[in-house]
Amino acid sequence: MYIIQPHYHAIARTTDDYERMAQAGVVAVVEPAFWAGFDRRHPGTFVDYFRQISEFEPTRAAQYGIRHFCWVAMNPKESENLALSRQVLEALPEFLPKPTVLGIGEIGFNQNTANEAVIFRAQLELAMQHRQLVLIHTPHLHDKLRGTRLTLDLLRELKFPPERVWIDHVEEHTVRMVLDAGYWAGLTLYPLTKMSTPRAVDILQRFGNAKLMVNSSADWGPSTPFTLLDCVLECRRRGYGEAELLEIFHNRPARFLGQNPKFSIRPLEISPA
Amino acid sequence: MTRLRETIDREWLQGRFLVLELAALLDRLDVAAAKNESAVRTDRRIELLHRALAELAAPSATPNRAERLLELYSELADVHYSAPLSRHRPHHG
Ligand SMILES: [Zn+2]
Repeated sequence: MYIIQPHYHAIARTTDDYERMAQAGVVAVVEPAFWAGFDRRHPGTFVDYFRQISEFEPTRAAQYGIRHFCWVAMNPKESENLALSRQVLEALPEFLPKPTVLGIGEIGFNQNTANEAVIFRAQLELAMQHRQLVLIHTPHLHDKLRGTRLTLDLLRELKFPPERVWIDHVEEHTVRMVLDAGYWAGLTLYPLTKMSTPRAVDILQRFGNAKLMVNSSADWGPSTPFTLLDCVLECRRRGYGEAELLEIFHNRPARFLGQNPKFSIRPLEISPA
Repeated sequence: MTRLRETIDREWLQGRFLVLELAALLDRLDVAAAKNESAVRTDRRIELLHRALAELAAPSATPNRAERLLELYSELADVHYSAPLSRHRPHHG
């Protein structure tokens, strides 16, 4: 099996993850910029963080034969701090040409506040200016429905090309509106309290949509990248064939991310017997 | 009062999660039923599942819901249901 782990926060994980993911067939991970669990005070901290994920992490992953790519952005949670966010945004463009940076993400809403909207809009405009892909986080729990609607409104208003947008953490009540509008959607698996593997496979079965991807939560909280492998197993149990698994867990992320030529991993095909 | 608040804080997310899991499971059974209707409708286990849900939804003065559900499920031992059930029974443990 060849698997792309399209949403993975390597800086919060140990090399055990890389080793076991490599053993399970993960060929690439993609690391969005996110909240570190505490609010940072200095723009320079973000610049060093972007250097870590764009320069250092690829070398750590390479020791396990895994390709590492990343996204840079001001995350939704810390977007609440407007002054800090504006300084971070000024530093973003210098990272966009780096060889493993695929776009701007994760951006979006956390608690659907006015400040979050300002920084979200600014980053979407930056992405359009620099012709970048975007990865959009949607709020968890009760804020998700409203946050997703606000996100879709903003994207429509800016006429952002839908095929260049991946909206992540969709659930049963938001997946349809995202896919119907032509965006890519991500199901994020959690070991506790949020999207479970059986529900994710239900959604995969209900929406045979070619723009629906799956990823694991893998950060500093309760999470594990191996829920993605549980999901492969659950799909197999429900009768998915190898070609379909390759399509969902490798080729879909390869097609979305491959819109940026820096992501050179191409979709694979199983040759007919 | 604080105790109650703490318990709610600790349990509510898990409660939300479990109810969603149950909802998804019922949807999954419905999808299966649409494909093979008579087999699902006549399955005793489905009937028990719905009785268990009714039991959970009923107001209760005593915190022994888990015990009552296990008693309810014990009815399965009274009927000859070995054929379809044995396939789902773990072989060990
Ligand atoms: Zn993330």
